[in-house]
Parts: sequence; structure tokens; C-alpha cells
Amino acid sequence: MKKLFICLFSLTLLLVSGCSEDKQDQAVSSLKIGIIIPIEHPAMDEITKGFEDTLSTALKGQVEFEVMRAQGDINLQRAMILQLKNQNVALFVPVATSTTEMTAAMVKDRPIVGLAALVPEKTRKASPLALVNDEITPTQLIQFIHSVYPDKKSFALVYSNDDKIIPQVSEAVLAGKNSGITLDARMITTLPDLYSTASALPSTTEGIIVLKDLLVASGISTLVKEANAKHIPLITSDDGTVQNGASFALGVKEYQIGVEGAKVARKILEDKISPSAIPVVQMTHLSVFINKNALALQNQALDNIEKQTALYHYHLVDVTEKKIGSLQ
Amino acid sequence: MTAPLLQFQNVSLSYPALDRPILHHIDYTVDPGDFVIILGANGSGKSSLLKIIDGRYQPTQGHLKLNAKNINTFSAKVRANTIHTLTQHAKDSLFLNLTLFENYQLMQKNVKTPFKPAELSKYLSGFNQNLSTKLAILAGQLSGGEQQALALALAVLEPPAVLLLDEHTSALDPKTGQYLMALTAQVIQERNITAILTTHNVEHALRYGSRILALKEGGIYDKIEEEEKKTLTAVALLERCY
Amino acid sequence: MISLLIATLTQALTLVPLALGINLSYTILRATDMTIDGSFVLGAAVFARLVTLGVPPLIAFLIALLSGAIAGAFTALLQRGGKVDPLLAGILMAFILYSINMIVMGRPNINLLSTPTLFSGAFLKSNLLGWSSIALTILLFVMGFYGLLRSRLGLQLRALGDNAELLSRRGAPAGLLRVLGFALNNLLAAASGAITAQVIGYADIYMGVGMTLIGIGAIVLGQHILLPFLKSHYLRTHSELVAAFSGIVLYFFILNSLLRININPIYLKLCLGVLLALFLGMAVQKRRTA
Repeated sequence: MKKLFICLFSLTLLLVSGCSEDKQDQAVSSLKIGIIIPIEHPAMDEITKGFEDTLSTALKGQVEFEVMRAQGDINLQRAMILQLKNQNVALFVPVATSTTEMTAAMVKDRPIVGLAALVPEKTRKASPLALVNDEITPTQLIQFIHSVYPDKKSFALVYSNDDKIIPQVSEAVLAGKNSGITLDARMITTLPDLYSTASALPSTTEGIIVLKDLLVASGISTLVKEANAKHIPLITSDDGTVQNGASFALGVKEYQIGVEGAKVARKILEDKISPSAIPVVQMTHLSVFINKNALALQNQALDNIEKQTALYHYHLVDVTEKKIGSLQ
Repeated sequence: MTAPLLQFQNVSLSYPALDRPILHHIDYTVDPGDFVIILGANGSGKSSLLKIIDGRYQPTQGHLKLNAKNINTFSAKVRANTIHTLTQHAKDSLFLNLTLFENYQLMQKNVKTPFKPAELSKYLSGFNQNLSTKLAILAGQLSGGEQQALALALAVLEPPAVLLLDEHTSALDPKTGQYLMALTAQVIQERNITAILTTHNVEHALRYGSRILALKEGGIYDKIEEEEKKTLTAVALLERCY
Repeated sequence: MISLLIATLTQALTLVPLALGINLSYTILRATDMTIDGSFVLGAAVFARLVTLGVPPLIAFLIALLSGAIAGAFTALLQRGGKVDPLLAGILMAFILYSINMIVMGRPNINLLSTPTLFSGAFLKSNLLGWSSIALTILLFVMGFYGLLRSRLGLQLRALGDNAELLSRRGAPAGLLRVLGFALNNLLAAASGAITAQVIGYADIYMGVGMTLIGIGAIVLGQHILLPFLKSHYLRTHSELVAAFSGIVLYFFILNSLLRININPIYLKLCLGVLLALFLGMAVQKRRTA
């Protein structure tokens, strides 16, 4: 009985997988693009949506998207990339760094556009890989802050000892020096450090700056309290921390990452440019997220932020009273 | 006069939680070649006595000597090689999820020329004819009688200094139990093994063994030596020991 | 069809050492060792960190294996001579390993794409050569494991899993054997981790999630499929290896097939789980009727 079941089962599986493969092979007529999403998250969906919307408008619908969701399982993700390889997709679009790395390791013969990802340039050139980096440079942030507060000369920069953050801190300090700003960089190693660091800030501090730093962002309320008490602005680099009480942030809208990715995809698919010849796309279309309640609590005016946002051609996004995740 | 093999010197065993000791003031000597039957009711302390010999229990008072040396001076390994125990539970002496041959391989220690499967078959057939064809069967798939026969066969593979038999037939049906008892006695006699058997069966006590030690409530109730045992009747034994 | 088989084989191959390790812990030692979730990552992490620091790949690989073995030895010691449940000890160790892996890597993800690895040279020449060199490495592990199973040590480990009390009463060093068994099992998991990192191009702090369960699922699948075709009612050496290998291959075959018939990945684990439950159910029924 069991032997029979096993035989029947294997046979069905063979037939079904064999047939479906044939069908898929025939179906490749319009352009097919494989998108690989490592884990369920609203931000991932936004990126995908931005990519799909832009590309299908540009190619007048002559494109098919195969979206694979790996649910945080690397075995599944491997199987999905192999599956897309067999379906003869014209372009691979992995989202996030580790997904991009896996795709680059497994796919050598077809172009890849990694979204919200950054790998060393040497690695990138060795694969047919183009990238859209979602992280803004610290210089952009410091310049914008300087434009909003031309008179403020002394800021504190709170960061964690992550080896991705440390080089960014040096860049920020240098950018500050060029604009005549003194950045007092304070490192934390664990979350409890944040409280003592915040309360030890000198009274001359005119504002607190936070980069896209996961550890500091998770303890942002500690810094919010300090900024509110001192009536100085807390300036961050993503919308989540603004919703949680920072005055404003200069960052990137996830949808826009997808839009930039679609532009790169067109260069590869239509203009036949080699992916490794396309420089890493940095996000120029930035957004300024503001929280009006936080601005009031920290005694900051909105006028100049609005004015500078317009001057820089950035996009103003009001996230006051919005819950995390509902952001468009 | 040979030196004693095992010497109990004023051995007691008690637990603070129990109001009376499990064993108290046991003085007894076992000589090489003895086949001692320990007779007693449930709870008389006979199993505990065996557990003190094989090291599962430590006496709370007194000493046990093996070859005139305190038994605790022997390493666990030496002790394990010197004393073999069979109980009514097959899992106390066999690896039930391993095959017969694997059980043999684990038991066989310093033999320079281990049995080949065919030789093991022949050896086992001397204990139970069924075993000889079941070398590749898991020990747990044997019948109760086969398991005990196998355990016996493996226990005397390299004859131990002392073989402890803790009611090893009591979980079997009467017929199989009788058969295994007879087999055990025969093996012990043929190989001249020193053995200690516990039982509450008066008939077994009469028929097998060279000496009887009767226990009651943790103490020695009576000792019957070889000459006397030969002339003993069941009625007399019952009167003396219960 | 051929592409399906190639996809299945290449994915299964890197996890063969892991499957052997789980065969050791789950089938032989009869313990569910969750340490594997952590030691799989540890192998990848140690390897990735060392090669990016410039250590030769072979030495980095050997140190990665050793680190897995040490993690396993700690899991065995945490059991305090069989008094603590191995499942609990394994979960605790996997928990500790998360921090250790983070410390080893210094960040959540290390890229290996442009770093020379054990197999990068072969892959540069051709894919076939690359996969052949991986297959050869895996073969070494399989042969070593086969040797272990046939040895007296292997038999003692089996005895330890069956009846630790009897084994130690017979004077065998049960504590030492337990340490050795768990060390070997996690060494194999670390080997899988280090090889996987080289194939997928990075080591990641989350790459081990669910590996133990996949491994156990695959082994159980392999064993229950193989058993009806065997004369005996148990698996030993050859058949154990066949079961472990075919189990992991079958797992990926089913996974890839389900993907190909366009089952939503959300339901994938449900399908795999139901299938496993079916096989297990039949195995129990068979035992009852036998």
C-alpha cells in the first residue's frame, strides 16, 4: 500500500512538474522579469510597486513580472532563483543586499538590478550587476541641515559601533567641517548606553543628528525626550523615527527606489547597456519627512524647512499622527 | 581453603526518608564457585543487596570487599567487566534497538579473535535454537524468553567473576521461566561461574544453587549451607524461612 | 525536466553534510539537536570572516569545522551527563550562538562574491568543474561518516542513543561519547554552512533559521520511503546513508516541483508539512499492523 502510494505520488509529481515546465517554456513571449523579495515587509512591497508601475508604463504593458517571495527562508530563496533561471527571465530584480548577493552568486549569464542594495564595486563589476543604493550620503544630510539652520554651529551625532555606520560618521564630520559645523560624534555600543550618552550632552548642543542607524533608531524615544527638554531639533534619516518624535528627517521613499530601479532596467533592456557599466544609482529624489507635533515640542519653526525642501527640489512628506506602516 | 570472593562486612543501607533501613548489618561471605540463592519476600532487600554488589547502590555503613579489597577501589570499567547482572527487564542487559550481532560486538571486550557471524550463530544456538538465525534482528523484536537467553549468553561470553541474577525469569510465562532457570543453572555449573540468584520461589531455591541466604525486612533471617541444603524439604524450608 | 533535477541536486548537495549530522543526532543519538540552527551559521560566519581577513580558504574551512565541533561539545556539556533534555540544551546553545555569530562576523552579513574560496577557482573555469569539486568535498564527508558508522565508536554512539544507562554501567565513557557525538554532528552542520556560504555568495546571521527542522523532515522522509523496500525493519550504515541522501534530495525535489506548479510560497511549508505528516502517519499504521 505504502509502496504504491510512493510510486503514484512520485509519478504525479514528475508529470506535473514536467508538464508545467513545458508550458512555461512556451509562455516566454513577452519580456519576463523576476523579482525576488526576501521577506514580507510593507517597504518591500512599496519598492516592488514603484518598479512595476514605472516599468510597465514605460514598456506599454509588454512586460510580465514574476514576483517570488522567499518568506525569510534561504533554501526557498535559492530554489526560487533557480526557478526564475529556468523560466528564462530577461532580468533579475533582487531586493535587499543579501538577496542581491545570492542572485549574483547564482546568475552569471543574465542582467541583475539589485534594489536597496550595496555590494563592493569590485564584486559588482565582476557580475552583470547594476545597483540602486537606497542610502543617502551623510554629506547630503549635513548640507541640508546647514541650509535649514545656517546659524547653528554645534551638533551632536549619536551613532552605534556598526562597521557600516562608522565610515559614514567620518564622512559626516568632514562634511560638517566644510560647512563650518562642529559635529560632536558620540558612540554607543548597546541600547542602555543611549540614556547616559543623551543625558551627558553639553548644554551648548544645538541639535541632535542620527544617521540610518538601526540600533540608535530603536532607542529613539530616549533622544526625543532629551531634544524636547532642551528644545533642540532631533534630525534623523528615516520616516519611522520622525513618526516616533523626531522633528524631521532627510530620507528616501521606498516607492522611489523602485522607480529608480525601473529606469536602470530600461537602460539594460532597451538601450542594451551592460549592467556593470551603469554606475551605482544614488537616490537624488529625496524626501523630507516632518512631524509637526515634534517640531512644536522641540520649539522649531517649519517655514525654513519647507523653503529649503522646495529649493533642493526634495519632496515634503508630513508624517504627523501617522502610524508606522501606513505610509505611502 | 580458598580466599573469599565477596565479603559483606556489617553492610547497611538506609534512606533518611524511610523509617526502617533497607538492609541492616549484613555479614556474609561468598566463595569462588558458590551458587547462592537469596530467598525473600518482596521488599526483603534482596535486590538492593545485588545493587550494592554491582555498584548501583553504595552502602551507608560497612564495607563490601571483592578479592579482599574494598570494592570501591576498582574502576567502573573493571567492575563492569568483573560483575554481570541480569534482571527481569531485558533493557537492563540488552540494547533493544541494536541487532543481536551489534549487542555481541558491544559485549565482546578483549577477545583477540572475535566471533564471525557464523561462529556467533553456533554459540547462541547452545542457548536458544531460535537465536542462531536472528543475528540481524533487533534485540527488541525477540520474544521475552529469547531476550533473556541472549542476555545470559552474552553475560557468560567471557565468564564474569560474579554473575548476579535478579529474578531474571519472573517476567516470563511459567514454562519459559522453568526452561530458562534450568538453562541458567546448567550454564553456571558447566562454566563453574560464581553466581548469586534472588527469588521468592521456594521450589527454585530448593532445586538450584549450593547455598541459601534468607532475608527478611532487610536483615539475615537464616543461612543454609551446602550439606544441609541437600537434605532439605520444601516444607522444612518454608518453615525456616517464612 | 533535466533543469529540475539539476536544481534539486545542486541545492541538496550542499546540505548533505547537515543531513548526515542530523542522522547522527536524530537517528543514532536519538536527540533533537537544535544547536544545528546556530552551528550552521557559525561554520559560514567563521569561514567568511577568516577568508575576508586573508586566511587561506582551506585553513579557514578547517577552523570553521572545528568551531562547529566546539559548539556541539558545549551542547553536550550543557546536558550535564544526560540530566538536561538535549532539546533544551540545543535551544539554549543556538540562542548563545546568535550572539557569537554576530561577534564573529562583526556585522549581520559578509559578502564572499569577490573573495577567493575553496571552490571559486573551479567555478571560474566552468560550472561543471565547480560543482564537481563541491561534490568531491561532499564525498569526503560521506566517506568519513561511513567509516564512523562502521567503527566501534559508531556502534558505541548508537548504544549511547539507545540506552545510555546500560552503556555506562558496562564501563564505557558515556559522557565523553556524548561530547564526541554532538561535536561531530555540529561539525557536519558547520561544514554545510561554510559550503553553502561559498555557493550563495555570503554568510548571513539569519541563514540557519529552520535548518534543523528541514534536516529532520528530510531524514524522516528518506527513511520512511526507504524502509518498505528493505528486508529489515531498521536502517544501518548503507541504508542510513541512502536514506539521508535521498531524503534531502527528495525534499528539494518536492520544493522545486511545488514551485514549478506555481504554488504560492505561503502554502509551500503547509504542503511539505502535510506530506511529511502523511508519511509519518503511514509509518505508524504500518508498525501497528506488523
